[in-house]
Amino acid sequence: MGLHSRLQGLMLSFTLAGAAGAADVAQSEPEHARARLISEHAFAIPGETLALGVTFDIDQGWHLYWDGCNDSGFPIDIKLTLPDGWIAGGVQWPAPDRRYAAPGGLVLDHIYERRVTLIVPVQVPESAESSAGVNIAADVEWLVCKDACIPGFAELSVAIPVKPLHTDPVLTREAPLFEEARKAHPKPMRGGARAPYRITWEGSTMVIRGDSADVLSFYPQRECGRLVDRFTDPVSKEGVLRLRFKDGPETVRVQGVLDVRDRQGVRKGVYTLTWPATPMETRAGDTIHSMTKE
Amino acid sequence: MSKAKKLLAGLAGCLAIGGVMLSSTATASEPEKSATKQVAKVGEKAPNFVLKDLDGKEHELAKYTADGKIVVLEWFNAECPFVKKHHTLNKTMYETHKAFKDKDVVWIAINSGAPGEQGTGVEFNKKAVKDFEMAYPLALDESGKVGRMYGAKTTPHMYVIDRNGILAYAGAIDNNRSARQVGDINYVKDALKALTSGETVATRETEAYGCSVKYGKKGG
Repeated sequence: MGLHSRLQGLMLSFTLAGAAGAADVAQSEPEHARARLISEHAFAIPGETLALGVTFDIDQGWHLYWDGCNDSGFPIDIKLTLPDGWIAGGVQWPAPDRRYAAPGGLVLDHIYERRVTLIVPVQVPESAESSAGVNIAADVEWLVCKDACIPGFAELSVAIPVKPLHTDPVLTREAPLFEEARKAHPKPMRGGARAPYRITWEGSTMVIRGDSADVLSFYPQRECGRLVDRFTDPVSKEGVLRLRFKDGPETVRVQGVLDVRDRQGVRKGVYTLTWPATPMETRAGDTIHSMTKE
Repeated sequence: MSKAKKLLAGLAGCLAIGGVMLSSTATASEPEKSATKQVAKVGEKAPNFVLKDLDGKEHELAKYTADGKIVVLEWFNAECPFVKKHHTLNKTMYETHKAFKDKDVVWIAINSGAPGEQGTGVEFNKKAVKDFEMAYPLALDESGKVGRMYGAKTTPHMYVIDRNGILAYAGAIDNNRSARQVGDINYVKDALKALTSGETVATRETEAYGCSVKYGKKGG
């Protein structure tokens, strides 16, 4: 079988719900994970933010990779191609799960199972003119693994109509996927007396105290090499998480996600955990996985 | 669509699946601390080992370094897309080995997959050596002992040991973590270039990337 006919066999197509237009897709064979480019809103409005997303259906037992400190795998990679003047923000990553790929604490990854939606907010320029549909393309790559790993890719596209300013937004049928994803987006930690989790330092150990009935987990996202033991430290005992770092609070840099669950494993909240406490330099528009993690 | 073509080539034959799914919740399957027995550290003496290759020939690290050889260790699993990236989609391993094989460099591929895991077995690996045109030995480390000693996490995971037996480099083969595209820095090549010309290795440690090494499920 020649390459051409094989590729034709891979061509899939589907239609986005609502007014957002049809999408043509080139996609690797749907081996254990299938990607779609979706829009939360049925049309774009000049000067407003349009929420686009890439959503994956993942087969039972298989997983995709978070963009954080993983020993193996490859994080989902999204590159958007937008019309002139349209600006994509950074990919919004829901909090992942932890997974040991080998016993004995040698390989630790942060993953997504079943379904995940990565939202990419797009700023629509004030100058955008009304149109039946502007074309937005997403070049998506991923690695889906169980015991074996299979690389996947998709060239997705969607036509989004542009309506004049002051038009009321209309949600697409896909909007609930955006809501679901946002529930797992890490929120900034509140400081002060009402803060649910208090951070103190004991030498170079960061101590995070929550409710004694909570299970706290830390998922390091950047500065991967700073934790002394990122296999055992990042899961709490009795509601207290003790993270040992190689240097103390004066010099250490920490960026990751704090996941709070009850003892049954039901998620109660996810927070951005950074040190120094002010958010570190954000990497807006950074949809390409960094080459090195330090 | 050369991209699609490359990917299709990479997909060929990597669909074998087996074994038991591990738990992935935040609380389950905590590792036992005692099971981590990593010894190898960059800048320190590389732990010695003896492994037999697929032809039954023994390879002892200390013997090579006693002979003044530089030794490259490559963690290997023929069914891993990242291994294919450097063996079939691109010939990174082949070319790097070729450039240094006549400069006192010994290159050994090691498969630490436990029996029954993906990419294991003598016959399967013999075929891989042939298919990948590997011009260096491949040794099976089925107990995972050598892999754990070196803290090998992924395939590939690369180690370069200097003539004095000191671990001079540990980490990735290159600086592109994709399953298809190669980077513009080949860390192993740079390390070998430095060591074969009597210089110190500039980048001594990077984070390896790839598929997880298929250690057995029973722990070590």
